[in-house]
Amino acid sequence: MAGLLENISLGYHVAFTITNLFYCFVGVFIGTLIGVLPGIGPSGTIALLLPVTYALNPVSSIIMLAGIYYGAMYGGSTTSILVNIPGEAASVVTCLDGYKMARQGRAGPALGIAAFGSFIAGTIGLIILMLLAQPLTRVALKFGPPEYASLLILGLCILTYLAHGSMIKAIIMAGLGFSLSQIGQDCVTAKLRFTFGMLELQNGLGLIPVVMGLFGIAEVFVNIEERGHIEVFKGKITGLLPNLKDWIDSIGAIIRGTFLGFFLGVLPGGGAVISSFASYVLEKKISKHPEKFGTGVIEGVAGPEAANNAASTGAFIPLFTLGIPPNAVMALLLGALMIHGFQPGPLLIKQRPDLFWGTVMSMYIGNIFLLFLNLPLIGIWVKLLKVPYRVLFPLISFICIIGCYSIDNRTFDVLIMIIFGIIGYIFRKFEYEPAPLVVALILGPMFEMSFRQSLLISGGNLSIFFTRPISASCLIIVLLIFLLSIFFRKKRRVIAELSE
Amino acid sequence: MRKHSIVGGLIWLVLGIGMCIESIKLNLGNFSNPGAGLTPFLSGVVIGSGGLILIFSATLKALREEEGKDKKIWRKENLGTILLFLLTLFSYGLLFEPLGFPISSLIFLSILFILPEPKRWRIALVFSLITIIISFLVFFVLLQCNLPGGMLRDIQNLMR
Repeated sequence: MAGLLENISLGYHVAFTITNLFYCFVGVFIGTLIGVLPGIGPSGTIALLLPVTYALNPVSSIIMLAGIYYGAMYGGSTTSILVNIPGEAASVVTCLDGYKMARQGRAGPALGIAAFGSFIAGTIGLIILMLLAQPLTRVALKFGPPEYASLLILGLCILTYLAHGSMIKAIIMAGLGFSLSQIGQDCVTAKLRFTFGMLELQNGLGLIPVVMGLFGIAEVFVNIEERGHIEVFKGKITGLLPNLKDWIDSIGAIIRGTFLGFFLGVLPGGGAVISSFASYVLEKKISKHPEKFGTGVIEGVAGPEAANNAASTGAFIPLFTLGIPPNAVMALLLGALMIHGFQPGPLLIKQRPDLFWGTVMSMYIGNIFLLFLNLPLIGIWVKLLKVPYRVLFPLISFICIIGCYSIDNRTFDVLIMIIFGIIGYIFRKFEYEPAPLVVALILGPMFEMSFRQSLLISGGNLSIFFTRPISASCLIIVLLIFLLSIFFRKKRRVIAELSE
Repeated sequence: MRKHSIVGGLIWLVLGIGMCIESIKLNLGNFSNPGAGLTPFLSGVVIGSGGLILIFSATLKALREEEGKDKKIWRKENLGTILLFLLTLFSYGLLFEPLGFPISSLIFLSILFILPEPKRWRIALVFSLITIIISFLVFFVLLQCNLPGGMLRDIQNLMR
């Protein structure tokens, strides 16, 4: 306990510097902004801002990038409630009851409970994160190369199982991401692989051009094609503070959503989207009036909003304790950690407590910033919704190109980004999710190293993966997931259709 | 999606086989001494097998007639804008260094801002200029990124 208090105190010292407070505010502000604006999500924004963080202090960069992620969860609900267009995938469910509440003249309480619910969930999530991080790190220290290799397979496996569409397509994406990670020098023999004589590929395919293309440029393509007219809410938003009845109706949903969301967020592939759906289904199941769901009940807003926020906090656990990102945004954060010279894994919290505890404490502060940004300033965000996409898309593509070029001052990176933009656009058209590709691209080198080290340790005996308890458990879960995917194919399809 | 799944599956199968062949050329080694080609070979197997499963499942569905018509994937209405955007993007990427940041950015942004509303070209031009100045201040002055001077720098050098 004394150790925990010491760490909390360290975290506050890091987070309460003027610089970090500033970057925390910038992060949550940008997060709310992109959460409000449909057409650009946290993955695209973090990819866009990664080159900008080169010039910043590493801890400040991570604080800012984390702020973008959880800030987007707050902002995403605004468009769902007022426009019936989710600013974020995780806010899709909020449209069902939130928009109906707005049409009944209850936009204020809907926005209010979304913000308060997110705040409560974010705060409780952070407390669980603090309590779990250290024990999990102790477990993680027992991991050797075989455990790592098996855990990485498990992570990718869960990610593909929980992918929105076809599991086969998700596996292909993971395979492709893994193949792309093999470009460049071999980690053991230094032999060049798949460079096709191009000097620029000797150090591998840059992460930033790939993710900027897949998430930034591809998003622009999709939006140019699909952009329709947005009908913005015209009424005056009043009564942002929910009344006593609203609180009584929604407090249970908030608490349940928080715990459900947090633990689903920890799972690879679980994330904010699934947790918000799961919370909505749970609330409907246990409600005394399930038939009213979808007509504008406050629990239908409070539960999912709390769940998606808690999930975004839970997602930091596997990232910080094991160095394994559970979703694409966390994969980008992992990339950012590596760019700044951190070695993600079980030793990260021990070696750089300032980074972990500073980020956690900044999230507390960020949650308070978000409450003020999302309630009193709601009018500004509503006005922002009126910015036409024809103004936004040139700016997004312009920032992508400048940011991408500034990494190494190479036109080659810009061309790679554009090519991956086209590839990402085609993938979306044919329902291939880019998230498993990005996660595999980042985890690929780690997996290869652990896999080859394990083989060298065991003298080529593959049983090393099955005889060590942690590794064997991971592989048994992988097997179970495959069996589950065969038996519950129909159920997965229903979930996929629901999230569509 | 049936036809698309078969075509997609074929592409993945070919890519997977290609990866495996290239990996064999790199040397697979053996389990006690894995070569540089071992892990790429495994990922090639994953991609190729995925492609095969896609082809089989799409063919099976076709035989059972589970799915009706193929969904329409491309929308023709905005195809012109997308192609023009793509062309502008590629040209900007290629001309960024030779023309330099200010000139190439002005051309790129002006085209993209003018495209949707050609009549308001003056506003588009002013907006492009403001964007370039702000981005110059942020990226070059504040973040100290290296942006190419291009033609302007060449002229400056000549004048010296």
